[in-house]
Formats: sequence, C-alpha cells, structure tokens
Amino acid sequence: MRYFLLGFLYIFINQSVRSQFEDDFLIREKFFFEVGQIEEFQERFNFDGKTKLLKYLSDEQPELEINRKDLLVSLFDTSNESFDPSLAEAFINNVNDSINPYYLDFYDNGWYAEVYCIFEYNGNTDNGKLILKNQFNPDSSSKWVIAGVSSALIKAPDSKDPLKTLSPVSHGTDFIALYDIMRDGDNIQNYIANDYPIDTLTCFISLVHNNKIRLKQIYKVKYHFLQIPKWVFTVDYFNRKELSSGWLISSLIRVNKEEKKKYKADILKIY
Amino acid sequence: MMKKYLLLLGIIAYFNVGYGQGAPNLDNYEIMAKKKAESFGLYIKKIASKSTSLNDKEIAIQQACRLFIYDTVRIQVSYCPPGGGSDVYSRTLIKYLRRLSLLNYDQITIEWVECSIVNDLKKGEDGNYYGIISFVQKFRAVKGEYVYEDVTTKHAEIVLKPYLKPNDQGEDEWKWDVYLSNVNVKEPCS
Repeated sequence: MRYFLLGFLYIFINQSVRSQFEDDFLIREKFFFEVGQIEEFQERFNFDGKTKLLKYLSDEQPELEINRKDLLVSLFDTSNESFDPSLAEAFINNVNDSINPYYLDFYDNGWYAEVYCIFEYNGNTDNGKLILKNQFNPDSSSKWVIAGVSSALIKAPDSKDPLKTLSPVSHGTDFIALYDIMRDGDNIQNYIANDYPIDTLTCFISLVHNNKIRLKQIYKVKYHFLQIPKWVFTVDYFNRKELSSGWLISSLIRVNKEEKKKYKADILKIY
Repeated sequence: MMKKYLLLLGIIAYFNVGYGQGAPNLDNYEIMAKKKAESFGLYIKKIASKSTSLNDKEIAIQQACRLFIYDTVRIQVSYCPPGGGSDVYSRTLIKYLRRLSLLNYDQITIEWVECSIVNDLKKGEDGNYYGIISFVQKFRAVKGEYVYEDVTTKHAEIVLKPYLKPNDQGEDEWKWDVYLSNVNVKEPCS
C-alpha cells in the first residue's frame, strides 16, 4: 500500500525536473522509462544493471538510490484501479525475499505470449488467439512456437445432413460403411464421438497446411507469467504518452497448483 | 595520404568485424546495426521525396531492401486514428516502400532522438543470431500547406548471419553480416 500511496519513483523524478527541459528531452526520457521490450520488463524485474532505465538514471540522476523494490513497483500499471495494493505488495515482498528471491529468465518454462488475431476462413473473419511459448533446444538455440489456438472459426465442420450416420448394426458387416464415410466430408462430424474433445491446434495445423485460413491482423499481444510459485500475472503493452508505459503488469492473482493448472487449460488452452 | 590510408583501414575494420567461432559479441555488431537502421531512415527520406526521380526512387527501394534479410519482411505500424484509440496495419517491406514512393512530399525531416539495443543476442535454430534495436524518430513531412509530424518508436529485429572468409594467412575466419528484419512502428496515443 505504501508504494502506491507514495506514487512512483519516476513520477517524482519527472515532476522535479520537467520545467528545465525541452521537447527532445521529454521524448528521450519517455524512451528510457517506457518498458519497450519484454526483455526490458524481465531485466527490470530482476534489477539487472544493464537495463536501459538504470543506465540512464545513473547518467542523469547519479545521486538517486534505486532498489529492486522500486523497479518492481514501477512495473505495475497504476492506471488500473482494480489492482489490490496489498496483493501487489505481497507479490513484491515474495519475489524480493532476501532468502529466496525469484527472478525471470527469457528461457524459463511457464511464460506464454497470447497473440490476439483476426483470422479469415472461408470468407468469414473472426477474432482469435494464438498462444506461443519459447522453446529452448539442447544446442542453446531457441524459437517461439505455437502452443495453443482458439477461434470460433476453428472447429469441426457442421454437417450438411445430420441424419447421415453409421447404422447401429455396422459391426455386422465389419463396418463396410466406413468406405463411404471417408468420402462424406460434408457430414464427417456425424461419425465422430460426441465426447471427443476437438483439438483446435491440430485443426489449425490442417487449415494452415491446406491454405484454408489466413491471418489478417495482429492487434494485441499479452504475456502470461506462470513460472513463479503461487502467482500468475499478465503483462500488457500500454501505448500511451506517460512515462509509465510499455509492457506493464495488468493483472495479478495468487493461485495454488491446481488453480495454476486450471488457468493454463481455461485461459491459455494448453493441456 | 596517411590520413586517407588510416580512414580506409578504419572502414575495412568497420565492415569486417571478426568474432572467431561461437556467439558474436554485442559490442562489435551494435554500431553496424545502428548504422543500418539509420541508413533505412535516409532511404525512406529519399523514397518519399518529391525531388527524387522515379528511376532514383526505384534504385533507393532496391538499396533499402538490401539492408534487410529479405524484402518480404514485414513493417507493422501502430498509429492513433483521429477518432481516438489505436489501430494497426502491416505490409511487406517492398509494398511499404512502394506506397511510400507515391507520397511525394515537398520536404522531409527525420531526426533520431535515441536508440538502444536489447542486450542479449539469441541463437536461432538456423545458426543465425537475433537481437532487437529500438529507436525513436521524429518525422516531419511537408506537402504544400499540409504538414505531417509524428514521434514514433521503432523496434526492428536484427539478424546476424555467419559466413566464412579467408584471412591474410588464407585461413577461414567467421564473420557476421548484420541485416535488419521485421519492424514494428509504434506511435504512442494519449
């Protein structure tokens, strides 16, 4: 609570010196304060001395003493009034624990990018999401890979004739009717068990492979961090003119193991 | 004469930074990446200018594309439409530059305010190394009475591509070419 009442360190700095500087200084200052890349978010979270904000402050305001807590506080989006300050403080104290602190690593398992997209399929457009994670290889190379997808367009096709099914006595002829089913793409859904969970990622692979789906636009990216025990937080990009902008914590929840597993399945569609 | 010789040596060293085997060193490639990003700004200026002939525009487009790993990389622009909010469009580099060439501004000013590079290079499965360069630019264009101005932050992927080149002793040495790749342009909205 204390942190939120006191306000942010950089708001203080900004107000104290603003009158002296011109336009270019403000643009430059904004560039250094904004969390422009997710790596910068991770660097600030870890209080890494090579992050551009700390380098900038040590040049411009060498008398300032900044600690990890200050930087952690600055990573929250303060415009979000629904944030519970006591929860944020508990989180900060937990990750900044003197005996068992937590840090983020780019190659950690357990953090995901949620990419908000507009897809086009069969002349229809719809919003959807791709979930990506970073995959680290034994040769130290890495790549982002798609781990999940959701869109109303990606589903089993509706059948044209719901009455066309395998007969209840198909077994009597060693399921000879299956030959016809394989040619009845319009009604394939009728022949599939109704408790079969549709694997949207497999559908997506097939649609992309057959050039049936197109990505029209990416309009937003959100990151989900699940690697810190007992916590899940999301990071959004705040595109605004204030110094407190760029990649900032947009939500924070305290979870147990089961809840974290459920979060992965429900929100990220990763099982 | 001596001055010219030293300058020539400097230029050779600048464009042929050797790193031995293993990962490239950030400090060595940073200046090259910044130079390429700066050159891209200069080409944009030339391509969008009314005083550049159609032929010269086409040459500038080809030269600008050579700064990039492929001419099919994407330029994505987030901008603030007059009605409020924020919008995004994305084009391939070549389409972006061709559209730019139609603008025919009377006067263009591009000013670099600040630039930084994400510290850690990341190795890709293809053996290339990847980084990100971020820079803020002030853009001002005049066309008759109309003046367009913006301040945008640009984030560009940087690709370091290794190649072998024999040294003076005829032994192969690893060198790294630096290219630009996908670019994300963001205009902060209030």
